[in-house]
Amino acid sequence: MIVSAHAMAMEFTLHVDDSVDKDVLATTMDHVERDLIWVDEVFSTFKEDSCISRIGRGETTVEECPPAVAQVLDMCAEYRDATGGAFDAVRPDGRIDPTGIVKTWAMERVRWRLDSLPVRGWMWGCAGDATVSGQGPDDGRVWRVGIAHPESRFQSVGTVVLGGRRTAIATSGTTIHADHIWPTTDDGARYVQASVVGDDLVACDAWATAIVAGGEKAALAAQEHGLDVLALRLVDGKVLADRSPGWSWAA
Amino acid sequence: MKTSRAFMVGGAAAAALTAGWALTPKDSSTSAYASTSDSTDTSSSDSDGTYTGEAVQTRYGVYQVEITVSGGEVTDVTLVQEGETDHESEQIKSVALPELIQEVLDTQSSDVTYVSGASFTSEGFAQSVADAFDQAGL
Repeated sequence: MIVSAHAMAMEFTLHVDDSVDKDVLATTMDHVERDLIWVDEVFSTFKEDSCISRIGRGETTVEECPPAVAQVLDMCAEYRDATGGAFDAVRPDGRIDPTGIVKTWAMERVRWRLDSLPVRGWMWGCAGDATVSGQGPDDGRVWRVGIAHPESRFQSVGTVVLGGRRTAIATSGTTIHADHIWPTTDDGARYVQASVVGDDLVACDAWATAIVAGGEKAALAAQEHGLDVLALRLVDGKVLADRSPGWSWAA
Repeated sequence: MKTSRAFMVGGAAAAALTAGWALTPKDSSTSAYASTSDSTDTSSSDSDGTYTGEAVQTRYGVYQVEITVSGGEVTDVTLVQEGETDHESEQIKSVALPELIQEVLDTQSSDVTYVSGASFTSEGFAQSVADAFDQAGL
């Protein structure tokens, strides 16, 4: 069954097996939703009174905010360095904007709550990113996940399997796809969409963003961090994929 | 085409998909937000007019929508600003690197529990729409 939590103007969905105790599930999801809403109140760049907005206006400091703020900003700095700047939570105008990673960070942050559910396994997803734990509903007790076509999100260009140590997948894309061709340049290929599979949703998310921003070099660098990569280009209406050797398509 | 399992579980999941997948804004906006205006049960036409939402900055650029209200219902939603890819943060360290394997992919129908796709614009787009609705008093 699928239940959901609403926060950050998005819907977060939890897939669990039907045997779950409905009361326990409802209580857990209530806590999960409150956690997500708290994260939104602290980190939203769309809310005038969030810590991030107030830091941006110079009205408060990181030290005066909840410790989670320093934790997320440190994490953003680590990913900026690891990706050579392709993932960057500082906007061109100098304001801090960790939006790109806060959602998946918030999802990983409630993992302990989901793991306390009396279920065989779960999948926790939002806006095309997902992480799993335990056993899945599909053949082989895994989760089958489709990779969306860059221009048509209800069609997929392939299927991968999550389970075992491959517990997370994140996909990032550019927002203008139609008639947009990204050629290979001297700097390497540029991509309209990148999916990253690994064992940490935040890392997958940061690297997927980095690959869309930074192209082929980021796609190669992600592999050095133990991640599997699928990066897509559109050429003459065809979807051309660059994938890491470890990326495996499900039948 | 065989629909995926996630698509067949009814209303709640359909809403999840709409919110989560952020269909190409121009395709999804009219139907998605027209139905929102229905649920507000606004019968007066005091709010008729055109409202421009807040311009929302995202990693990939600025998003801004404009809604047209007629007879108390939203009749059109258009994007007046669409994001552009930020080319400013492209420097990557050059290091000795692993390889990439190239292949051509076709769309396929398959039975899956989830679809992984990009949706970064959803927040910015939703925010701008919400602001336009506020201005229209809907």
